[in-house]
Amino acid sequence: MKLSGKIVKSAEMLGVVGDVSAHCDIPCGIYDPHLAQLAAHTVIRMIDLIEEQVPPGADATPEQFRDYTHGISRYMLVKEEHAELCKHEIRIMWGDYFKPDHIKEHPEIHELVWEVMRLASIAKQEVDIEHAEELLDTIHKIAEIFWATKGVESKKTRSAYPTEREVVVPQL
Amino acid sequence: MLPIALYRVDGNSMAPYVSANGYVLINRFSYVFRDPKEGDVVVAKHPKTGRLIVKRISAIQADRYVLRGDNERESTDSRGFGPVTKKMLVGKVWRVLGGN
Repeated sequence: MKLSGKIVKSAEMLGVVGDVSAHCDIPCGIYDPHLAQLAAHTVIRMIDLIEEQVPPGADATPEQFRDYTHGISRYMLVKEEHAELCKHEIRIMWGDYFKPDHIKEHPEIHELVWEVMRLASIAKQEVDIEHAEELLDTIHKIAEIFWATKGVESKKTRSAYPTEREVVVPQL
Repeated sequence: MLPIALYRVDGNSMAPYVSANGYVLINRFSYVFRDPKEGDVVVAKHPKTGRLIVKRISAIQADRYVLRGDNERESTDSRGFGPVTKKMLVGKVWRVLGGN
């Protein structure tokens, strides 16, 4: 064993080795509530599509049953994935971006994050447009706080998505 | 307090100079009698989290030090938290040991 190896091993045994970070949460310092909003819009869109589907009648052909089931399954899957994406994006913002100073200034952050977790779970469990809209609305509130912490004004504006609902955008 | 301290490195931001899971021996008294220089690799306190980080001094701005990871794509450094004061520098890396 090399001398350096012996030094390290001895130090480890003595418990005198500290930890130092050369780590990064890639991409560095890049956070944006837009992805969570997109995901919430997608959940709403999937609910709209599911509700637009006309179930095949009793005299439908096997192909019509297959196509209906296939369509519904895809919408459900995407709804499930994007509800989880809402949770993921907001968790990252909560854990990695928001700091004690932000919480001091916006003490409602914790409550809003918990609300996103709850509503996104409901978005998975149900096909309920009201809860999905509530999810989007809660994410909007977090987005507004996020831009406020950056010292950037934001505004809620109508999106160009088929959901025809709003999105919070920074006034850069 | 001993002048020498050994730290295990977690992360790739200083690769290839220090690999993930490598070790750095630092001299805590390096900057007692002299000032840090550009190019020094240092262990410093992250100004926001207090966590110890290992970075290179890439520039000196008056009494502040700009810290950068050699592997910039995997580094959280002064680009994010700004330059740091001398008080935040824990010591200069004296030797690099081991690693992947």
